Amino acid sequence: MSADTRVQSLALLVAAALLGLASSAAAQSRTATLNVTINGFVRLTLSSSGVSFPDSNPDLVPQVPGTPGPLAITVKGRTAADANLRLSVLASDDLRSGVRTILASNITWTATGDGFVAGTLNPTTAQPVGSWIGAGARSGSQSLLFRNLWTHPPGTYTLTMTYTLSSP
Amino acid sequence: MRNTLVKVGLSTAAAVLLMSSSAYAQATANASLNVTVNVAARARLTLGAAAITFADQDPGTVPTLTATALTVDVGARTSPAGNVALTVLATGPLASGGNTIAINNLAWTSTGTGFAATGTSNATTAQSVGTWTGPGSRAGSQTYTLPNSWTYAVGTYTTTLNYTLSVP
Amino acid sequence: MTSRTLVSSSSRWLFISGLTAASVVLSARPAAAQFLQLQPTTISFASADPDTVPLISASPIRVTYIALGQGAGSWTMTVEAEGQLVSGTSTIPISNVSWIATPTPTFRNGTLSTVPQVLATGTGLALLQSGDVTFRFNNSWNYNVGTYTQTVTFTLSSP
Repeated sequence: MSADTRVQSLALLVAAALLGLASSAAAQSRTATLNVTINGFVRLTLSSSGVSFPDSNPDLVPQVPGTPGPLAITVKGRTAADANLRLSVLASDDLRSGVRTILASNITWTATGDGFVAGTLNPTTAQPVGSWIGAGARSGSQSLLFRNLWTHPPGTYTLTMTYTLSSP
Repeated sequence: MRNTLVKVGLSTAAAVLLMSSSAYAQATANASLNVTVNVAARARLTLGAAAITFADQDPGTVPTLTATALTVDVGARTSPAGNVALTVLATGPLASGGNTIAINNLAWTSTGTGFAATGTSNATTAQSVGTWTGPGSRAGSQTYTLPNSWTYAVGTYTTTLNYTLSVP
Repeated sequence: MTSRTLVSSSSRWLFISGLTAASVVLSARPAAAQFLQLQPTTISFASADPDTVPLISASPIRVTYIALGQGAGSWTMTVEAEGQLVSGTSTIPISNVSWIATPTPTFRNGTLSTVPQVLATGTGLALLQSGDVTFRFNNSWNYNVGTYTQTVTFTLSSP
């Protein structure tokens, strides 16, 4: 055997040894499993933390709009398929100024945006603000109005509206 | 083509499927909105006309002249126990040049809750038209009368009635 | 001169021995050969807030391979999903899963599909090489609750 031939032989021997680890198949496949966990999660965002109704002449402004203007509401939720996502609001009490009160039901609202509804504030039973089916992000607005009557005694009245977003 | 897989010194990684925790759905989010309503003390007095007129009539057939009813609207924002009072005071007698008719000849009857049923004009002491307690809007009417006497000198007699609404 | 050539029917070991005076021409052409290993074999994305984590990264997959193209030609590694991400009746398009891979330029970035996508490519012999593939998932509020799964196939081949 010539030296060249032996070199060739040795090269083939080494290559074959290495390739002995591999498959002679033209293709080899391996699989991996993808897992994605999506848990229930909701987020509620209001464009403001407060609203005020200025004193106004009941004859000229029978419904006083809140300031700042319409409350922008963003509702985001991950729910089970076809599950309901509900937004409601509950007043902490009637409007109070010292010992004087004005019924919370004098505050009403109109709404824009798919799924959002108009309503009247209530200190006993949470009132629907909107409802949707399935996961997603939705936006709308609430325009709060105060029923301006001559029968309201003077004062600075307050209450807190608590919004609750929930998915089952 | 061979399809032999040769494994030397290596082990195929066993497929391990990690079971993640089950996805959960229930979720709640809350947000609050502080509401402030400003109600200031306020008073409103509206008369249905700026003048009342008694047309000339035959005293033999129309012994008492009656003016068109005057509507009176009173609005007041006051404390729940606040006393709201409406009074009227004439500036002087009915006068036409040097001729006069005593102002106490000008009387009225009223309708409406809180309005005095009857009254007589006076140029010295304000006369009560109506009284109320607490805030609210009240409406009534006054019908003025004047005896149609043969003793009146010919002329066009005038006076001014000043109404005053007091809201504590 | 004596020569013996032993070729086992079950292996590819080729022994050439005893050649002293005769010349032997070897024209054996190495066959295309591949070795492929994944570690780990699970790609997991934990639930996260879409507002704060818009893109979720999984732990890297270490891809170890031996590749040899036909006649020192090219070889290719592809990755393919067997379908969309599924959890009961809910699905998430598999195109929401992408990856970044190193080292470049052998490995390249891409997005999962039900059609094979090129993960790596080379020519000649790649002997016990490795690459790291980090899968990423587009997070969204629009996904229904669930545990979504799908199988991803890595394939090393030469034409």
